[in-house]
Amino acid sequence: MHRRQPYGRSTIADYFTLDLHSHSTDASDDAGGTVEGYLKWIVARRKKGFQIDGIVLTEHRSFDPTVDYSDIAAQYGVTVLRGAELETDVGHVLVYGVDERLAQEFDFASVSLPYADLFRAAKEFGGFAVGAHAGRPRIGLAEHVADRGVSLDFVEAIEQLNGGSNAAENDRATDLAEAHGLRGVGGSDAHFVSAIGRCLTAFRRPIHSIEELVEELREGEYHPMRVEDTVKSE
Amino acid sequence: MTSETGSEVRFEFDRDVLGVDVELGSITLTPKLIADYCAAVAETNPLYTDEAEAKAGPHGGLIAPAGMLPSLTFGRGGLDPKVKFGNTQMFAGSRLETFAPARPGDTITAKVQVKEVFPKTGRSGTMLFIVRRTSYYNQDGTLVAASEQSIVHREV
Repeated sequence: MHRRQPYGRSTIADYFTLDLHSHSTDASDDAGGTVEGYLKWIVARRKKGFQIDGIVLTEHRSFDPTVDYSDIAAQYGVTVLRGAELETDVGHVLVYGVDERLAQEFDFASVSLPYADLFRAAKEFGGFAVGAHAGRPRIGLAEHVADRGVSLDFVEAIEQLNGGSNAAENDRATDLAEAHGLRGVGGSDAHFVSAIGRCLTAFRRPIHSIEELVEELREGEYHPMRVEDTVKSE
Repeated sequence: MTSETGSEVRFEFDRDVLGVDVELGSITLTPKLIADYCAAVAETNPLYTDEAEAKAGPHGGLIAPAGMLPSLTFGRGGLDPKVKFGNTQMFAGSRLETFAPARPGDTITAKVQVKEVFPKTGRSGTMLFIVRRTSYYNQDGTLVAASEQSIVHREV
């Protein structure tokens, strides 16, 4: 039986919705979606009544500080921010506010970064790390906690709702969050255009910069939600 | 040989082959070759099949579908990164980029290189990807297209 997510319908107009996890052809080897394709899709979805205020591109194992999507973001009226999805010894980790110091300390191309060090350094350097698709086997935190008893001392938030995970995997992530008092976010994990915005994080405050995103992730009010729950009710 | 080690992942490959182009050979795109390809894949776009319409089109004449270039047998070759990882390999996808039209009568030369070798992890475990990039040049040395193919090595 699929567990109902603790978000449901809400007064969506009070929230700012961001897709915190996506990949594009610009930098992810396995992605087929272009940034512009994602934005066009979002515009089309908005016309159908869905609320997707922005996306965060979290490319695999890389971060180019020179890339700037502000022009295209303004053109389509969608907030576009950038993070990274890195690979650690307890699975994948989303990092927001990627600082140059982080890139110097960690080899982003590695598939077995030390997770505790990464979580700690991300915060120390002004960013925020989130355990990606926490309920997935091998590459999600839940299995490592259950099987190896890894510590969550440095983990504050996990991706509780991932668009590429099945219901059981998302439930497992929810169980982990609830059992350990972790914050939960949502993201589509989109690799192709039609998947963007499938899962979102609803924030109480608008977010237009990576600094604002990090601040809200650390201190703000937010929860994961599905795009279907953003349709404005009559 | 270069070793890349992590707490759980260990793989080796010959880093010296990365980015080194090897010429595979040349093929002239005859009108018949192009027409046979279009017939084989049921390609009906007049840019490739109708001389009169193609002449009035953006390229001023017939061009060859870029997709036919990876299907041509230029010859065997390319360097081997000598990957030591996993016990099986699978095709993991391909991409094609086009840069300039290839026309009937063009002689296309293909060059292949091992573009990159990298690991990634997924639900099923650790995988090692080898990406080979084949570049297609016409007789003037103009790059007309490039295709990339990925092969994944994994343990099953």
